Amino acid sequence: MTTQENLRAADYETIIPVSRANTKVFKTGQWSQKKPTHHPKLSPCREACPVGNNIPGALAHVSKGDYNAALALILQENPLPGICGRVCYHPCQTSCNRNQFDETVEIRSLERAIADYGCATPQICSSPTDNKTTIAVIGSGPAGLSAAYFLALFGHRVTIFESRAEPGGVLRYGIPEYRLPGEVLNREIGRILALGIDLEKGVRIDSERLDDLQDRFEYIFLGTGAWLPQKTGLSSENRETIQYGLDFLSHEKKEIFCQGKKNIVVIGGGDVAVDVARTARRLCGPGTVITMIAPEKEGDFPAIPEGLAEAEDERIRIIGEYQPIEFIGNSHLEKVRFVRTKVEKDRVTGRYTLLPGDGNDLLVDADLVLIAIGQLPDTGLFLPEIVDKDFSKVFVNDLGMTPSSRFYAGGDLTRKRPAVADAILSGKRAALSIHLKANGYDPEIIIPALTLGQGSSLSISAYIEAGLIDLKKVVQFAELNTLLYRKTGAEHGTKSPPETRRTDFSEVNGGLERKAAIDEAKRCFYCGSCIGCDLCFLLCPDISIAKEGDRIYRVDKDYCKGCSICATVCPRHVIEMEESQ
Amino acid sequence: MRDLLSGNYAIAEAVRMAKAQLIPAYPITPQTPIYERLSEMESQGTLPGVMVRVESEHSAMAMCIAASLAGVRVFTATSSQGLALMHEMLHFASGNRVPVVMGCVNRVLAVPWSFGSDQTDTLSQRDTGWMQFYCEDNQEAFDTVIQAYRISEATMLPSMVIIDAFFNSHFIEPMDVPDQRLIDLFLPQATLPERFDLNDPAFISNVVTSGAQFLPFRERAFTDMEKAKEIIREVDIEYRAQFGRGYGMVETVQTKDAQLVLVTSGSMTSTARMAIEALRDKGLKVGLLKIKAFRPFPSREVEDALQNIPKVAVIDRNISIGKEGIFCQELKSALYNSTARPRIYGYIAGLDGLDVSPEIIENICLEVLGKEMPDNLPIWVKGN
Repeated sequence: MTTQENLRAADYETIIPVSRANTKVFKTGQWSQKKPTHHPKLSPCREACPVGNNIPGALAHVSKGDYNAALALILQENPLPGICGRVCYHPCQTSCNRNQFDETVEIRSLERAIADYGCATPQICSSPTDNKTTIAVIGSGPAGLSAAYFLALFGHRVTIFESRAEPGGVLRYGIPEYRLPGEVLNREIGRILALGIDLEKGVRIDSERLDDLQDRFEYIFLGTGAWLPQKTGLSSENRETIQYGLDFLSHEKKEIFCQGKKNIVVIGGGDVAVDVARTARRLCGPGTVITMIAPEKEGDFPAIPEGLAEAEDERIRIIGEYQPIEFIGNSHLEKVRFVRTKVEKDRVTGRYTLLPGDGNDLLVDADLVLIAIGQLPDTGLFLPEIVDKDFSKVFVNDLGMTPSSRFYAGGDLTRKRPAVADAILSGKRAALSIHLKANGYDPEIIIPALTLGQGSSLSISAYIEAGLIDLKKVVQFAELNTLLYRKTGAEHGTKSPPETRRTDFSEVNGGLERKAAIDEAKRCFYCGSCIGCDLCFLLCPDISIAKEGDRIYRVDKDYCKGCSICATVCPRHVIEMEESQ
Repeated sequence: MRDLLSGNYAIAEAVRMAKAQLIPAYPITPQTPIYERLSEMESQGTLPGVMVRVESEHSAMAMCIAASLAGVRVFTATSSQGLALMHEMLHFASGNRVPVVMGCVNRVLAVPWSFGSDQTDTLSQRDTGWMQFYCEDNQEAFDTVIQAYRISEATMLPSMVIIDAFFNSHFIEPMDVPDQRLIDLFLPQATLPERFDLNDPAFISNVVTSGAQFLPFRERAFTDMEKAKEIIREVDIEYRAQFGRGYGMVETVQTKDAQLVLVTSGSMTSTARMAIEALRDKGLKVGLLKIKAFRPFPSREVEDALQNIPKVAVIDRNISIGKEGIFCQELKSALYNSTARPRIYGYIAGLDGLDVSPEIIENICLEVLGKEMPDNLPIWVKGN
């Protein structure tokens, strides 16, 4: 028994290896050079969005049913989400990475749902120590409203001058109710004005008043739009049976123009032409033939495809590759002669030119012609040095400033892309420039830093929360871990039936129901945005990713061996491997 | 109490009486009746411990190790492929110095697939740091399980208690089952160190530095295995005193004047006893050495028994392909430095449970007695 007792008395921990320290002494992270970085990046949709909406961020909120948070996020970049959610040409959807998986996320419908179901107040971006200045905004279209909105958020005193009876410009007087109901417009303009912006309606600015404004305000933002019709240059244009796009849409007597007409010809292939045709459809009898003719190929019309499809549903004939050369008829218009044409884009200037095409002329019966081939700004009022007479527009630089340093301009007046979202961008850019200048910062340094990816849009939230998102890295489809996603079709909103639309100006698109919008938002890959899925945290084999709060992960470089499992598994490419210093 | 039990049931009975607290196991022929019998006892409420059905033998041993480290007396049993699968964890068990007792029923290792007895499965685990006890009959299997707990818990080294497939595992023999009260006196409740302490957490099986730390642990295990020999002897003497039966690490039969000593292990030893008797009756001076403890290897006992004997014949129910029978190798190496070492003749017999009859054993002895020099390679015995 002695031997047994001796062994029993032994300290067992001398016979097996036991560690009461931990292996943290082994800094295994020093074995590798590559380390993951957790840094949100730009999604391609946001890069493409002229307004710079944080689309993945907002959709993440919607996916959880939080429309209020989504709207608050959207309002950081876009003063008019309910409008963009209805009328935008949605370049975001074209560049959506989901196109390479199944089909795009219905971002525009989701923006509309956010605006319609959410409730939020725009966040003031100024600090009390910022300098405050005074700005007159001339014109209350999307550019003017946007400039006024962001300037007010920065704390400046803004007064909008609007020549018409109500604010909104082209939004109210150009876009018909069936696409943009007045109540949506009033709601969104009301939210902007509620920031403490003064609005003077029915005030047309002439040169005398402009001088007066220069005395009263430090800066002036010109956003008067492009209301003069581009003409065809053909003779006999001045009959009452020939009307022009925006003039027609905003005309009090447009219903009278249409009454009793049998054959209406719409010339032009843009959104205004589509709206003109569809408005005419609602104002004339159901037997009227409406034909829309444009120089572009069918399928290549500049108008938003959905609008064109809706027009066709409303029995509007669409013909491409013709341009008018003659209006035929004596006291009354009878026919329009068209010739075959083709459109060529100049690779250098990007301008389109019309060239003769192959084929016979087309003779179309017409008792009303509606021409919508473009709009020109009225620049007669402005200082000669800021006007480009050749192209009838106001000069602006990349900061939204005209050659006269107190004058900024945006929207159609500058003849950039004539879209609501681009007008909002121009107003935002000018507002930020004015704010930076008023505070002694150099906009030429700051604005490029706030530019999203390779695009042209700007982020105000990036100005407020500098560095939170890497604005220069755009997440590509190949960088996503799509194993985490299932293929699903997009949710689409309802449309009113074409039969009822022909006499009715109520909204055609019903939008997404709350539940459908949540489902659709869940389809978003949230490219480049962390949604706190925890996969990196859970799958790190070295327990080297610490979770330090909501969507905040820290890599412990002392122990991360650089295996890259976190970067590989991250469905959104928020994490990527980089050489460690 | 006298009882009729198979070898498997004898082991199960010993485990019950040893009051093993946890029995993680996985069935495999021919060990399955141990598992089944213990399950039956559990369902009848007569098993003091708890059985856990695990997903593999590897897991069974992992669970044994963890529970034993936490101070629990454990048991498991396996055979053949199950033991092979468990191999990695056998090293963990001995390295962690856990006193696990395992019942092993020798069965051939595939391939070819078969079920008969063959010691190669356990002998392949020779270097895992486990003690190995080869039992001759069912009584010895019972007694060895009880002793093994005492030995393992004293040395903090794991033990295999080994019997032959079918000859032991399934054949029913009359045997003595002691009183639980006496067993309890001989083998009290385990008093293992409880290493599981939430307030003082530790990591076991940690990485150590190669020279300064690894070597001393191995050396300590080696010297403790050497010390185990003394403990095995002491425990056996104590057991004999209490129950009237003892086995020793080896047993010698009529070796003093022998011209030839036959060396066997496991169930064929009983047959060899009869063959020796028959040869003695014919006037041939033949003796028998039974090897029970294979690890630790009883070198001193073997040397004492066999030096000065002219000839030794070893019958191995196992084969190390590329060399010879494994007991034969071990004997040769144990005797190499003896001053008067015998000539050693190796025979391979009884693989896959072939019967090693008294005639086979007698013929081997006669052949060896008439042969001047041993062959370099073992002689394969293929039947009568």
